[in-house]
Amino acid sequence: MKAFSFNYIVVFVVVIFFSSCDKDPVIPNEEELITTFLYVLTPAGGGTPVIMNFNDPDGDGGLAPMISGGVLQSNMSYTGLINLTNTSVNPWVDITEEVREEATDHQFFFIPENVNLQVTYDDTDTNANPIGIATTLITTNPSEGQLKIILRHLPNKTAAGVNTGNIQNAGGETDIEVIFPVRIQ
Amino acid sequence: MRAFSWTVLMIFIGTFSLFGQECSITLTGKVFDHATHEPMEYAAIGIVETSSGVMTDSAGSFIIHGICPGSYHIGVEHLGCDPVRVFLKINRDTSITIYIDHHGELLREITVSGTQSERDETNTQNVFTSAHLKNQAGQNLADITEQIAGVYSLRNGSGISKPVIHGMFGNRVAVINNGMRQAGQQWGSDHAPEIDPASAGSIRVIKGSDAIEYGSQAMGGAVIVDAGTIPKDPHPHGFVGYAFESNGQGHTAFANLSKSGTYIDWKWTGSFRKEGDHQAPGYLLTNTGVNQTGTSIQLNFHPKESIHHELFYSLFHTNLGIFAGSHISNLTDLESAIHREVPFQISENFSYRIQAPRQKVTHHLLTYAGKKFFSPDKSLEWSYGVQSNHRQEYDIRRGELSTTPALDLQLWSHQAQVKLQNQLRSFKYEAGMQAGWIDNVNDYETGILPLIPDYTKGSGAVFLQTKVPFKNGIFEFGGRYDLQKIKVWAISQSLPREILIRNHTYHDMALAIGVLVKEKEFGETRLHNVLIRRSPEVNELYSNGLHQGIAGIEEGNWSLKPEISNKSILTQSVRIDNILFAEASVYSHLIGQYIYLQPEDELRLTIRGAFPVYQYKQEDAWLRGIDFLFISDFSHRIELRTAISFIRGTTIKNQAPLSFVPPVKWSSRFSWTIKDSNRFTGTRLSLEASYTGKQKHWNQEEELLAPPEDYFLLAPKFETAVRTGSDFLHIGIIADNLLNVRYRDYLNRLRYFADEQGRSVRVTIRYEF
Repeated sequence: MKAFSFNYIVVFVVVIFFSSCDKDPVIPNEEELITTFLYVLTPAGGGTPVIMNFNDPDGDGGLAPMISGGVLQSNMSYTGLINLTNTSVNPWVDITEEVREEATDHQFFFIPENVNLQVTYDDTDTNANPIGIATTLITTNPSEGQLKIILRHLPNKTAAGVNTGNIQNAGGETDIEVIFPVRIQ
Repeated sequence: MRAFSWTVLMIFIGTFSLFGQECSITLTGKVFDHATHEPMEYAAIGIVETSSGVMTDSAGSFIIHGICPGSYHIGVEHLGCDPVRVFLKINRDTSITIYIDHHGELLREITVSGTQSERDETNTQNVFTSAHLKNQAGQNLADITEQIAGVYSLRNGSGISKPVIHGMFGNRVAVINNGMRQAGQQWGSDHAPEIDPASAGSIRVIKGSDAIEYGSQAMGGAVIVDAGTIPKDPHPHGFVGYAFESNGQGHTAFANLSKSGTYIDWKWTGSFRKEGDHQAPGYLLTNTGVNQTGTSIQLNFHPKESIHHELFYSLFHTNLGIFAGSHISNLTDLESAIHREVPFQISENFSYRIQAPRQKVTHHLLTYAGKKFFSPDKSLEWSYGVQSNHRQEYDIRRGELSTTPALDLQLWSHQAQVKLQNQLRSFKYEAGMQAGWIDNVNDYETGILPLIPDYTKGSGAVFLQTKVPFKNGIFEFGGRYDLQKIKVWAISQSLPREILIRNHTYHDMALAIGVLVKEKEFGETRLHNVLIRRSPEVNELYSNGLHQGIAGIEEGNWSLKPEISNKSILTQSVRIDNILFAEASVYSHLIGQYIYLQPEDELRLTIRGAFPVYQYKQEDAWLRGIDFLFISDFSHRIELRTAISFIRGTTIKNQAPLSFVPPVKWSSRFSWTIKDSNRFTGTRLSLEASYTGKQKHWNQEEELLAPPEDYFLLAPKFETAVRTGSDFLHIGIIADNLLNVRYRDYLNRLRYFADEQGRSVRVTIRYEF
């Protein structure tokens, strides 16, 4: 057999244009993001509102969110209003409005832990089920603990207990879950 | 596991010097079992055109006299196997040798013409051939490869599965689609290979490492899908088929048509599959439907005996639903879902509807390959392939965003190769060069920071493989070097958002040694050792964001170093006549700086609640295991086949168990072949029993839920072929999970949320002409 001949080696050149492949990716507009959550509690009959605030302008990563809870008066009734904003886009987007537009697919749940307060719904969707953007918060004895607020997307609003604010059977996906320190004095 | 049918493997046509007189030609031949090289007695050889036929004798020989010159289809049938047909031009006395595959599990290679080179024989390979694949209509690639000992599937519900070979998957298992490395989104357990098994002529699983030819991605093994050869038959042949699957009310239609000519051969395949919600025992798995289409065209052009050109195109499109009850957000949701008897979000009514969360994937592959023979031992191959992979993942989103995908990636990939094969006396070698280019682009319209950034990757490689036969065996040696350049356009986590451009250069390499020793009477011994340096992939370096499925934030680590892996496999096979075959493989896989996701100590607080953060880190690891296969033919009618696999995986420092290491699996199939009649052939009844153990070695710090309990499944099967003239109608009925057992599988992400699907009866009808 003949020795291996280099004549048969085909010159193999693949031109890769490394230089022509510079990209200029566009940074997505994070339309869906909720950067700011406000729970504004106005004492019945007026007065200075208590504002609970969860603020995370850069979203999931980056810097940790800033959370400030509230100090409430005992045996007092407050009207509560939730306000959601996306400040990552310009102009800012009012997410509360988007939630209201899809009210049948959303519900807020208010879960007090070690604080003597109770939250009831003041608004309903087209099926007469609660939403939770507008609420009434009633405090009783002085105590200190936290209030967990959850927004569920596509919950089963007809499941047992869900329309009175019990999250147990609600299912769905959590869009928001924030915990505020609360003191009742 | 399904029965292997036989296939014609090699047809060597030798011609005698004497010209035959008219209608006095004699056809002689021998039939062998390819795996054991034993002569096959009682094989029926028939000439379709003249209806003349004979049986092989105890030496596997046959003689047919009085043949007129012409072209004939020669049918080969053997008890309990799919009938096979070959085309021959007979102008003079002719002698043929037919190798049939009676024990498909044992094969290491399928060669249809004597001219193709043998592959690395010391490597442990398993092959699924066309005849076997045809019986698997409506299955995913991983469902098919899972039937091999030591191969498992990593799943996400019923529709998404990817192969796990010896505990490795994703970036560590190469999927080779018609010679091209499948370029999809291999990261993530919820991304299945974008391949339609109906377009494949053969599917090979290499449990050793084929890293020399396919690169460091083949570190854990490789799945090699080929369109296969086109039968040398000038008449159009093929099949049309339909399969119905009771669970999910799935319908699959498939077809295959091919024809050979003097210069051009062609083959077309097509399949369409539609499935609705699957059913677990007790409830429906809402939104688990699939719509899938696949088609392929293969054109072979051979202007001269010594030159072949092959053009291949395939399209794969799928739209599949992700189980509604598995769509959760944060850790609290996951924990409440875990503890439910019946999952959230299930519907009472069966539906074919596919809603968000869902995945839509379109994959195109176009390849051209050429081969020139300079002599029977010397050839040059060249090929180029381009792939486009478009993956869109839709989530349940607020407002108008639900029609916008949450992930939208377009990946383009180009690969080119030249390879020289030559032989110097008995010393064979193969030398090649490869180049590749990958471009990945995110669609910014998603409105979400991408999980995988935009990147490009250029690569070049050279490799050499040698093969030296000695007295009763073969010694193999190979080496490969890879250069990879990655450029990434990552988006910053902090405000204001900006693009961070990073460049990485990696040098990968691989060294392989193998020895095969054949003991003539007894069996054979194979030893294979591969040392590989694998550089991190882009997902390991830069993935960033929330994985909805795992309720965790995944973070890449751009300072990762390449992994150094050494895998050794020792395989011993033993056979006693044609009655008993046993094969055991022992392997040890050491990986220095093994890259895997480890949870951070602290949860990360976001507006959606707290999430664990998983970061890619490195630690030395060791995987080892045993695969065992035992086949016994008590008679020609009764066969018992048993496969067992064990695997353990731990870190070296703390002996901590690795995640996603499969538990022990045992499966046995007992089959009984009924005697052929004039009308029915290959009639076989079988019962498969499989046991999957509980994974007792798991890491409590890394996993959210203890592995599920062990389970036992039964699957009876009936298959037959009805003769209609010279064609056959194949019928198969199989009942998976016959006892409708409630169980969960450790390698299925669905295990957190719901049971596996219950009983499913699949009926397949295929008309072969």
